[in-house]
Amino acid sequence: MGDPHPIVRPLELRFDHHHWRGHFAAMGCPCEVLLAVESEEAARRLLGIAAAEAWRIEQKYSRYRDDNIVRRINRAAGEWLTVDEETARLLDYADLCHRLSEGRFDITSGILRRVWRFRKDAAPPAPEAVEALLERVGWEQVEWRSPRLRLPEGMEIDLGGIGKEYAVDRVAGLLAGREAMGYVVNFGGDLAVRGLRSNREPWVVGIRNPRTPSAGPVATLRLTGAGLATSGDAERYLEFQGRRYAHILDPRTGWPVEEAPASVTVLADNCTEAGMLATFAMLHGAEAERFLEAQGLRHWVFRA
Amino acid sequence: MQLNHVRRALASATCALLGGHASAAPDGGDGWSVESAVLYYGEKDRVQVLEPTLFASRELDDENRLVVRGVVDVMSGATPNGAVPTDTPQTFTTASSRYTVDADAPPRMDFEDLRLAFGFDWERTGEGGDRRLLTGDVSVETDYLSMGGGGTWSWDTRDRLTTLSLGVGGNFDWVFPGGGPPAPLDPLDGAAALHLIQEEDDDDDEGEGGEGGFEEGEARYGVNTLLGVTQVLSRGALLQLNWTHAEQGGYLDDPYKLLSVVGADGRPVGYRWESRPDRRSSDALFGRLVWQLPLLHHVVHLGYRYYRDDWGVEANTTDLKYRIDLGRRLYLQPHLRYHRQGAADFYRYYLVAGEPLPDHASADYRLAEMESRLAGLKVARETKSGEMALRLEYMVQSGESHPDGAPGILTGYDLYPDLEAVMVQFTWSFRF
Repeated sequence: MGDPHPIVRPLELRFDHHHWRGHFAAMGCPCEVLLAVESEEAARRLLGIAAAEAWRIEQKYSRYRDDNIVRRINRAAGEWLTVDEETARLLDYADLCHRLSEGRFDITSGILRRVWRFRKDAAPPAPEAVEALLERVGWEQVEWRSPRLRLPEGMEIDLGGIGKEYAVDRVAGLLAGREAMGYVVNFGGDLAVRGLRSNREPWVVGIRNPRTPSAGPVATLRLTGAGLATSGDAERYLEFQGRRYAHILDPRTGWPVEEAPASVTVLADNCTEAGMLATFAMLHGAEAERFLEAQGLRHWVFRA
Repeated sequence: MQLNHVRRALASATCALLGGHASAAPDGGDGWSVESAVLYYGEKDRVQVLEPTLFASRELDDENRLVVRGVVDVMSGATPNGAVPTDTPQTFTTASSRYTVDADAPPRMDFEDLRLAFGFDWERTGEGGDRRLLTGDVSVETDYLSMGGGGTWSWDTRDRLTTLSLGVGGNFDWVFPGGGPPAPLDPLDGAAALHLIQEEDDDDDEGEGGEGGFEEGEARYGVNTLLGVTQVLSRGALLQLNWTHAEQGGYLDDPYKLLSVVGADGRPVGYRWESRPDRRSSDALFGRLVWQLPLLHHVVHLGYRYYRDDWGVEANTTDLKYRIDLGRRLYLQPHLRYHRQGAADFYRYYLVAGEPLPDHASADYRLAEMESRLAGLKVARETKSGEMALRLEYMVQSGESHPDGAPGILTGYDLYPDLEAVMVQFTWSFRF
């Protein structure tokens, strides 16, 4: 395990008619921040704050790094470990989501990716291989007494299912109360919207069908305070012997969720909540629409 | 899974996760956005207006936005009645009033009025991002009622660089001056004489019956269409072009404006009410360039408007605003405007006794050939939830004071005195 290396990548900033638009890369996706501020100086300062926070979270929670808390937890499997306060809050949240989804959302399920390859021409894994891995999946086997954690040997956690949306809301929180009249934090399509544009109008967000992205938006939202997140990946699935396997796995079976939508987009108060409800909906497969209707939130379900 | 309890449990957990930064709308957005202003408009020796306004807008949901407006105008002062000055006191007797103007003074009529206006805008954003705007307005004065409404449809091109707008509107007004609207080109004294006879006839049962009222009014109506293009030219540069065509019909006279009928010596021998055509067709082309200067980030608003109508009025207006940022939240905005217009075909300073009456005639200074210059400064401070601004403007309007061919003593008078006006406006916008 190495020492933490802070992430630093290029920042791009340009003026875009009514606001400043800043770009950087974090968490494996393009990140964008729209800022309703007057001066370039202020825009650059706020963009710097946003990128630093996104990179901090990536550094701390990415499963691709060997210098962070996730790697430390996974290495310490079998032993008790005390985690910092922020990680404890994330684990509390993951614990609650596991209970609320009756085991469908599980941060220990990432290990299943070792046998599932979502490429169009790939074959599904042998049932025995899935069965073998399934023993190492299941949050209920983890001992979590905040802030102390003991992960059974052979198990791993992955906070990728929360991290990006959490980062969006963290950045949105850090930008609050500064000089921007409003802003949009958009990390790879998961976003938080706050305040107004410089022309005192709400921000306008279009929702496209991921299967027909070149067609016009299916909905245009005028937002001043909201979170919007999408779960699912219309392009990633595998087809084998006439069956289509969706990208989303049910940790209780180790197999893809049957009749899962191609993607689900949810509008909520914040990005984390929107993202989690979109994920829950995906995990409900054929019942995704019914689940979302019961939540009373605006949502868009796209099916292949 | 108990479906509907998921969201509630998740919402509170998310709040805990995000350390309380997860409230629905920390920067407002669900509430009302309010802009209030008080305008003082004062013309030297003429009209004074105090005008409080209140605009409130609210996002009803993601697609619908409502704006409600209320305006009060408290007007008082004296307005030119169209007559020319002379070397003796002049008395004007109309169906509802009688007033005397000093010798050598520009003839003006004192008035006081209160105007109340209410309106709304309802903007709906369609699924495809197009915007549909419906507006409605009503305004009332003691002698005037106006109702209007319209709709505008705007949509963006695919690249979102161009916005196209199409609008149509209409209005219906009712003009009901005391004593009823005077007949065009009728002599003033004649109308007054007739009025007096009526009053003597039914003095007992009607009292002020000759005053006329709402029912004796005349209608004025109009329709207008708008075609607009807004084009983003580059980073920080925007060009807007609008073409408006308007048709008006009905009673288009000003029921308080008259003309002096002067003899060969330039002294009035009588007065006649003005007369305007009962149709007016106009076109206006408006262009505006908004440009944020690179490096400085000052913002230039350059506007130009060309107007013409079939009354023969042709006008050009050039308008320049320049916004200079002073620090983070404070800005200054100087404003300059130059307006020049030609006279309506039927504009006259006076009528000449013994000459045949024209079909239409008006001495309304607003239909004369004239130019106006305006200079102003706005100081604004952006607040957390809006803006506070003070605007000061000064305007001078001038025309031909000594027209060719003025008979007799009229050569010695200023027949188009300059109009000087100041405007002071305080604006305060906020959210709650």
